Amino acid sequence: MKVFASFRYQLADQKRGILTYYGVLLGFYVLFEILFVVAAVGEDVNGSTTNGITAVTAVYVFVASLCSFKDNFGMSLQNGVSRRSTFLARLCTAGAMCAVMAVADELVTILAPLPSRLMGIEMGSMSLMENLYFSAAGAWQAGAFLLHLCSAAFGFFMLLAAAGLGYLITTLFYRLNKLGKILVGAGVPVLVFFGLPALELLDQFISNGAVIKAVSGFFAVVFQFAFGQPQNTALTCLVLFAAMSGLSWLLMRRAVVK
Amino acid sequence: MNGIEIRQVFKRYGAVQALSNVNICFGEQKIYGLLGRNGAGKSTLLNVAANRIFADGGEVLVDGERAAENDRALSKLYLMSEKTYYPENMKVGTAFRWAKNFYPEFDEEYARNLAGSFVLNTSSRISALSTGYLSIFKLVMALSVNVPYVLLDEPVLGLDANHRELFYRILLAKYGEKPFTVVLSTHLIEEVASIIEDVVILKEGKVIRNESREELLSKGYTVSGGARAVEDYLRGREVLGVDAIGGLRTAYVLGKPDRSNPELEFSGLDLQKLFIQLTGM
Repeated sequence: MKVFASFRYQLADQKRGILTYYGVLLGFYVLFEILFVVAAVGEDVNGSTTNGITAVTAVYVFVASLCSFKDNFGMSLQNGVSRRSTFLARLCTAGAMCAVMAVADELVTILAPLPSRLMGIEMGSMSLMENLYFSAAGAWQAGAFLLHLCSAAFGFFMLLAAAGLGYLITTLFYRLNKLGKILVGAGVPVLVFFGLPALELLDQFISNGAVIKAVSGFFAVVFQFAFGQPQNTALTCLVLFAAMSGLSWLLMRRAVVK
Repeated sequence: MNGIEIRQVFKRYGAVQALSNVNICFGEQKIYGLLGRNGAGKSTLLNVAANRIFADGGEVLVDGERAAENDRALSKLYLMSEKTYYPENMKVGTAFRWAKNFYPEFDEEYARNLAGSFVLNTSSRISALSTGYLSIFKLVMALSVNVPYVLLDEPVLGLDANHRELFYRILLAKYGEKPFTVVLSTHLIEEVASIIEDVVILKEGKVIRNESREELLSKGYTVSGGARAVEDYLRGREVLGVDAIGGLRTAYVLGKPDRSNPELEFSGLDLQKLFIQLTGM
């Protein structure tokens, strides 16, 4: 098996992007804090907050995953790595990348307010989990260490889901022919922006909106269950990752070089 | 058994039957010429062997193991294809380093020396290489991986005569030092005729010849001389083709020569002429 060789390669492929991302992020923080301190001089400013960095990281992971199939697939086949090993290595890479970035996000969350605080300006900082579920004062009662640990774990599963989605889309587009790409690429936005409102209008006309209301109610219950608690959200993200990875494998196992 | 066995492989692209029940065995430590006209199925065959595309039927075995989706079997072969599957932004030197990761026997020092011989800049990005240098880069990789089976699909594409000559010399030197199996798919038949030991000729997805070069060439001969003498000689014989220069004629004939006419000169058959005849021109 060449899983480890492929894993090393795919991980190295992500390394520069991740370092650049955090470099830009830290640069942004530094710039923001300098501007904030300058703006705060002589003004009655008590503080500021920076929250939910993992949401931005999830976008990065999604985009990085979108870009991580074609080159790696070609490189793997060129070097005698089977699709199965390439896929297993991809799962390991996604896991490692998301774990590192979740921990890094948590470190950023902890460290970001320190420079401002040293200058006497109160700056708050919350993880995505804290921001979504425990933003009310005193809502989290189990201690700071556990909060950071749970935040990192929560971030990990969120990022994993983003990675799974990005990889699924890129493998799907790789397999599709030109017509399929156009249909999916244009069809999905058309469906979202025109199809759903049209459906809503139709339902309004036929049943006075009862069907849409029932469907919305059903989804509200599902969403409440799936994302109502941080542990539920983490589990949902894991299930989504598994499902999307399964679909990616089905697309990838018969993929050929182009 | 050892070698690459291609068993009853067939492959169709829409209405085109690219490979039709192909059975070939590329044995150990031999240099094969895989010949065929454009669209004969050479690249398809090599891509199937290297697990890059799937056959619609049949199987490929490497040293007795199924090659499809089998890392161990695939580790024993390397396909240098016309297309480049290395990331465009990767540098040549970086590709050498990564090759070691996938092929532990990859000899980076040898690769760098070869690159030096071809004046290939190892700090260049692969995407910045010209067609010729892209071929050189892939050749250097193929000659440095040190696997038992090296498949070369159009290896000298875009190479000038000097570089082609250098490649053939290096290939033979490497083969002489430690023999390995080379499958050379090329249209430059005259150039490889003296290198290859066995010849596989594909026509419209089918194997029409699979034998040693000597055996194949012994099936015919070349006769030359004055126009009238040659034309008389050819009567009733199976003629592959005739070249005419002024009053002189050179004919390519199948069968055994009859050397009774002292006005005629006889010599061995030319592989390219034979190929042209066999593949339908």
